[in-house]
Amino acid sequence: MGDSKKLHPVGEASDLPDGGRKQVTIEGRAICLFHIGEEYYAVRSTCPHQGADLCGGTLGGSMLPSRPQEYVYGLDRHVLRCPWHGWEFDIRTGRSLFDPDRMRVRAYPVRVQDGRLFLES
Amino acid sequence: MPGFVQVHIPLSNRLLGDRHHYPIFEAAERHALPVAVHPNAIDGIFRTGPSTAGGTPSYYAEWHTGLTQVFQANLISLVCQGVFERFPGLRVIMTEGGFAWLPDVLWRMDKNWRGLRDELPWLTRPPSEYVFDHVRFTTQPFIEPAKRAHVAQICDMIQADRVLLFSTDYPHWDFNDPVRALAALPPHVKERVFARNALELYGERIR
Repeated sequence: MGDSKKLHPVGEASDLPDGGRKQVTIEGRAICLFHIGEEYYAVRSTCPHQGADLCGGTLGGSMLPSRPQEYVYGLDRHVLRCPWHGWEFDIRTGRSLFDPDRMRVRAYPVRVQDGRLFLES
Repeated sequence: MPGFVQVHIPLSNRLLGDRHHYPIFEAAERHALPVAVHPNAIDGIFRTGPSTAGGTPSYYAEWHTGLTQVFQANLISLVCQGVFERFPGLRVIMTEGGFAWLPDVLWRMDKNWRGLRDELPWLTRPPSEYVFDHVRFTTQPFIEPAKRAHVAQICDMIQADRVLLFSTDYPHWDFNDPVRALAALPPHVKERVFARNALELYGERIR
């Protein structure tokens, strides 16, 4: 890894509709790219638990921290749930919901330039 | 309330995490009284006692071995229902319910929480941390593994220097001798189990 940021082309924005996702490989690493509303997100696609492909997981919301026996739904379309054991990750940051400081996947900024998508690493 | 140091709740088929108990927890917390539970002697045998899993044991040896499951169920219930988030000052003592099962239950609870967190969003920390902070376990009947070194290993896994309280159950047949029973504990753990943990838990009430 050098000090300077690199932009990696990952395709045309028009090929990834709202709600869509696709897996790309950057420098040998599988990364899952999402288009949600006005935003694009990209996270490392390998679950830190047992290596499952997170790109095969469901994207939805989850229950936010709340008082006991109360449920507050939120983060709709921003929580990626590992298909193997259900670990939840916020695709905006790559942080897990259960231990955001220590358990996370890398998140990559996504740039849109002239209708093309680039991952920054 | 001179002379009172804790509140005892008889276990039933209503798990401790059920809100039925919350007025008692609220009062106990307000008065800084720990809540203790203890085998009923009717666990799994009479209908008013807590069930043991799978059926009714025939022999006393079966019952005495298996009654730990009632404590496991109640510990899991307390943590998962968020009782210690609702009553952050509450302390619970599990008396004579065993403790060497803790590694398995804590690991299972933490693991399930990682995958099923959205079901228990009120838990802000791994379930095991609530146990270490809020629940204490008495030592009798102390474990007697074939390899003496296993005592220290189990004690390390369960943070015995924080969670264990010495008890004898004397004069019951399965009592622990204070000199012999805990001999395999490392000295710094022993000091805490014999005195310090109880002093920290009960405070001025037992000084």
